[in-house]
Amino acid sequence: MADLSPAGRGLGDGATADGRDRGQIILVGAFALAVVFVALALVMNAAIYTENLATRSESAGAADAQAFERATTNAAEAAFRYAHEVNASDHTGLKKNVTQAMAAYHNVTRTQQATSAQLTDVAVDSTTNGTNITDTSVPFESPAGGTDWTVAKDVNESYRFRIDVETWNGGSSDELWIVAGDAGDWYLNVSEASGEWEVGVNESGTYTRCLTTTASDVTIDLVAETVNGNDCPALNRSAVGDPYDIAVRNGSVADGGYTLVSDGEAGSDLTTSQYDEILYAMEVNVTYWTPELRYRTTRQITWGEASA
Amino acid sequence: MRNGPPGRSDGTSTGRGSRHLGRRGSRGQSTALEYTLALAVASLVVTGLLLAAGDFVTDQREGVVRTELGVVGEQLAGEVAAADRLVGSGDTGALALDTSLPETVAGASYTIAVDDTVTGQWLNLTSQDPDITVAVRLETETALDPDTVEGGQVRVVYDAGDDHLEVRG
Repeated sequence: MADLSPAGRGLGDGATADGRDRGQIILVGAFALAVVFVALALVMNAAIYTENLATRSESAGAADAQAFERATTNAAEAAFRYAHEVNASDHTGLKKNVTQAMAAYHNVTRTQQATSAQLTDVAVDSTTNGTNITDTSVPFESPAGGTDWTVAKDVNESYRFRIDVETWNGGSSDELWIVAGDAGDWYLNVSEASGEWEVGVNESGTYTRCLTTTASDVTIDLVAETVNGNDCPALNRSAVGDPYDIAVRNGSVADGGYTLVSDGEAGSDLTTSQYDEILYAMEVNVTYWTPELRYRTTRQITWGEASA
Repeated sequence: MRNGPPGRSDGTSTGRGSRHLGRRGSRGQSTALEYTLALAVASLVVTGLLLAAGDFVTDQREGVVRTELGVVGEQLAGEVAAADRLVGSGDTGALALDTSLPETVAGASYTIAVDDTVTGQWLNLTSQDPDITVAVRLETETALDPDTVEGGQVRVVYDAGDDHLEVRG
């Protein structure tokens, strides 16, 4: 410590070890404390940065991607419905219509999104053909008058399948069957005796009664699995191997109506006055890129919740 | 800066002169003892101050590291949850989400361990020096692949083949 003292100090005048020499240890201590305070300042800086970090929202733009995907889905659903409203011609015309609509949507949105450094791509990937078969207030016979006939072929799933049985023409021992696949697999059985309807399902030889009622008619919804609004789980046809045909047996015993919107084809007994070609489903590819996010998804557009 | 002129050290002057008087008054006291005592007291005071300040800074740093690890963990959990929502909203073919986290927390490097346990999914953030671990819980519909990555640039990736999310460094 003597080296830090000015030359000549503390010599000859009895000032050796006077108070000013002691100041040097205070000085060294002050240096050390200053370093500690600098460290403290750095730590405080980190604390402030932490608070800054805590206020930041999610940075990669996932919410924007979700909003774009939702908007695209809405546009695709609108295009899908519009195509069926204005162009109820055939599968080719419907597919062309939705493809062009989505291409127009893509052209508009890609320039809008590019202004915020987002690259997007929207295109129709594929469509599934289907048929809407509807006939009301007729006997359950084919247009040519056949009692045993095929309504639809190669059905995997349907989003609407309703049967209304209104008038009984047969006797008490007659039965109206709606068969899925083979009669040994699954069929719906409707009968009437003394003004009482009975609806049941025969699946692989096991009969399950759904409902007996004296109502004027019965409405069977095979998608919602209800009879006159009452649940009947036996109406589920998922055990029948895909794809299957839907056929009517003993169609002459009752009058009523039916509607079936499925991904199958119309039976050969039907004419275009009983069915329309529709798109059963459409798949749209959506791609959304930003510097931080790469997202690609496929959205399926359908008519609603389907049943196997 | 020498002491006052010799002529004024006769006790008649004030200020500096009085110190000479005081010094005369301490004749007989050992100079070495006085020096040693003063040095010891000064050293004690300075050491005490340094220790107290050092402990204070260490405590503050640990607090800051703990807080920042929590904030970083919540940020990453938010990004993973955002990725999970995107995956859940449709038939996702590919998803990669980059997020920029701090390389260090209050000067300490750290690792992020993704853990999928029976009690839920956790992000365990551990800093090295000081050794502090903060666990952040998150819930995802999609399975989360357990892994450990360094802090900094982190990417959340969806593996469409195995239907799970991964956190990659």
